Amino acid sequence: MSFFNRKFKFIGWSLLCLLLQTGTAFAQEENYVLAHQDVFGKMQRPAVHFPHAAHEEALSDEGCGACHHVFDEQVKKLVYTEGEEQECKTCHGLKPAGTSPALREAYHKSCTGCHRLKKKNIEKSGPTTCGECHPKK
Amino acid sequence: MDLYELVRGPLAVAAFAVLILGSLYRALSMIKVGKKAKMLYPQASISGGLRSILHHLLPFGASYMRARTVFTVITFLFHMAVIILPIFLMSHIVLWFESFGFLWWELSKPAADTMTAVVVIACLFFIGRRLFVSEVRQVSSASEYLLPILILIVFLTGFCASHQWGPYRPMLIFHIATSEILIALIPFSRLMHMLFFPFSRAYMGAEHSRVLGAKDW
Amino acid sequence: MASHGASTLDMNLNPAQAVDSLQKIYRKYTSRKFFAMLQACVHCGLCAEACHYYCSEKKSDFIPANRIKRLAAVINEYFHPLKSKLPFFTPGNPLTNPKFDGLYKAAFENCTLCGKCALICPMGINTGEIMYLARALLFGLGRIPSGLIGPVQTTLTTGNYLGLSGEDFIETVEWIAEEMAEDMGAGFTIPIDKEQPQVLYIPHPLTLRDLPFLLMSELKILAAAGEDYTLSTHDFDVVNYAFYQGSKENAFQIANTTLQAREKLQAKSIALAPCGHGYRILRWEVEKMLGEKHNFPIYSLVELIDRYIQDGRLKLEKDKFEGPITYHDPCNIARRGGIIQQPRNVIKALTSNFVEMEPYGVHNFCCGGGGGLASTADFGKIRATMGKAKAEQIRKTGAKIVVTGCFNCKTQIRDIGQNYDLGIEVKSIVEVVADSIR
Repeated sequence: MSFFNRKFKFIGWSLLCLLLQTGTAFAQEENYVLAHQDVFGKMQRPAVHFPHAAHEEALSDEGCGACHHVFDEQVKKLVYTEGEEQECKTCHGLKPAGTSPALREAYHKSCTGCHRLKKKNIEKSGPTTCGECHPKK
Repeated sequence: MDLYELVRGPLAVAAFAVLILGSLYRALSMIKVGKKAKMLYPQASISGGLRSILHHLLPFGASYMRARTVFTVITFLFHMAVIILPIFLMSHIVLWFESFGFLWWELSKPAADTMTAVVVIACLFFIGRRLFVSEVRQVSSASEYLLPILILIVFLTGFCASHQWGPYRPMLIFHIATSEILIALIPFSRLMHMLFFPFSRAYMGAEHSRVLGAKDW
Repeated sequence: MASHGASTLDMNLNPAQAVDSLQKIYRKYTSRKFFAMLQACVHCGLCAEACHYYCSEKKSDFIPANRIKRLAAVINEYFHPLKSKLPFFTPGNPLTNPKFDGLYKAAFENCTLCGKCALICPMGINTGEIMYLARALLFGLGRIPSGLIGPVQTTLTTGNYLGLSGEDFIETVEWIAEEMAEDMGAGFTIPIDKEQPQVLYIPHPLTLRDLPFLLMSELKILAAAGEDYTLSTHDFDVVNYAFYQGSKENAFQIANTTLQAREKLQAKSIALAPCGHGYRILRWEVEKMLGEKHNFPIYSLVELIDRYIQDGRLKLEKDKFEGPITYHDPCNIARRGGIIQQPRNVIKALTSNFVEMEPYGVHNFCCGGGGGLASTADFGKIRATMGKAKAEQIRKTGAKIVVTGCFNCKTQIRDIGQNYDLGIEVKSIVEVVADSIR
């Protein structure tokens, strides 16, 4: 069921992207290059090549809500609404805002936090050190 | 548990526990063993003590520094770098955030690299001084050579890990492990001068500069 | 501490008594200050160049930090907070432990407790003060140099280290008064035990027995300035070798006779003959032992002379002595006593050819005779060798006369002058002042 929904959203986003001609791909590609010069300016570390598909597969049980969320003003909680997935930087900026962490911390919390937790629970996991996510080319 | 998680987690906690408990032990044993001031100092001057500390913290603030330009510049920069760099390095802050969820101001990459260079040069200078200046060689025992070598290793491996020179993961793990040894060694080595310096300096200044008119800087 | 009587030097201890004695002294003589300083050393080696021993001979044992290491090793063996509790770390018999041989050399032979290294130490370690504990521990074992035993015993029993009796004292002073009357005019008297004087003057006993011309100089100055002073039969010894034994109890006992003499006579102040350690102990160390400030001033005579000149009470003839004249700051007067400017004022008032040594003032090198070394004949050779730094310092000034304000410094510099062929004359500051009085 979610497949069709997602597919529609995907088409919608793609169209929007084309319209806005942003050049960055928002679509579910295999890999995203997370390099936010527009947010961070000069970056201390090399960009992260994020394998989205691999995560989709690995987190199929948890679903997209494992990472994607929005802050619901009414219940004051992070909620996940299917089909409304957004990029991290839509909400997270250079500076933290209230309880919402800055973009870098949001990434680190989501990525390393999850990887370390999974490692701790002896599950299949991703890298936990700086250089493994930010490898020098 | 993999090796990284071991040095990143439990061993780090252990190193800091040794640092804190060890320092407390050293501080308390100084306070407790020397409990009553058997010799009273009716002429001690607090402002003299504080001035003495201040003068010895500032570059060229004391006579021994004014007599040695290169030595003073290197030791001053070394102490600044060796304290500031580990605390304000971005990668370290990210780790603190990972563990405790709070962060603070960070150094830029060129600043961090410069400080590493300062520490490396200073350590080489210190080792060289111990080897080639006869009176310094005459007061040096093995530990006095090992400490700057250890600091040198910690900062070099840190630099290599940060720039991903050499095998990344082993380098990183080695960097963290050696740092933890260094941290745990602080209370039980000459590095403890960071705790005793203000005390001995203050006692010295309290008796000399104001009371005896003999400036100790 | 003040309430305790004199402690006796026991030279026939058994091992258990020795350990017990060490422990008592350790507890009594250590403080937070001591531990902070003992543990702050980073072995940077900067203290080496401050030590006249190391400057004279580049031996590892002559570096202050290494002397402290020897003390630290003993403390570690006998007083380590953890190790000393463990059965398999039983400390050795202190009477045969070679560590104490090294400590003896470090504390009594290779250190004059001059305190110069303390002023250069980046960590603020008062090495002289730290090494004092070494002397105290050795005192507890009965191991002190011969020259520090006899004089102290004599002082404790007779009140002065030469063993002069009250009659000897009065006789000598009367004879001196007669001699001086020729110069000072008939009717000149020297007050003894006068009540409520401005100044109670405490001379050096050697000037009563062997060097009366020095005492004459001192009294001439006091008389010429019209000072209301007195000598006293209650105490006429400024010397206090007990301090250098490593026994603050004995040192207090001896210093206390001076304080008591002042009280008996109700003197307004005490002035001391030129003597480094005598001044330091009475002026500063006794305050620490008592735990309170003196409520009357204690002067070294040179301070009074400076004031007399400033107040116009003493008029000096300039350049009576052919210069250049240099001044040697005794450690216990300058660095450890706080009297730095006054002797310079005085000397500049009587010569236009004054030269400073380099370094001078609080950073001056020890002459090599301090710490009681000058009083032990066996140390003559050490003093001669370690005087090299001072000799070079003096040679560089090109001075013909070296003026100083301490008996031991004077003896030592006179010896150096001969050993190193400096062609200098060594004079006490009271001599040059007395001979320049108009």
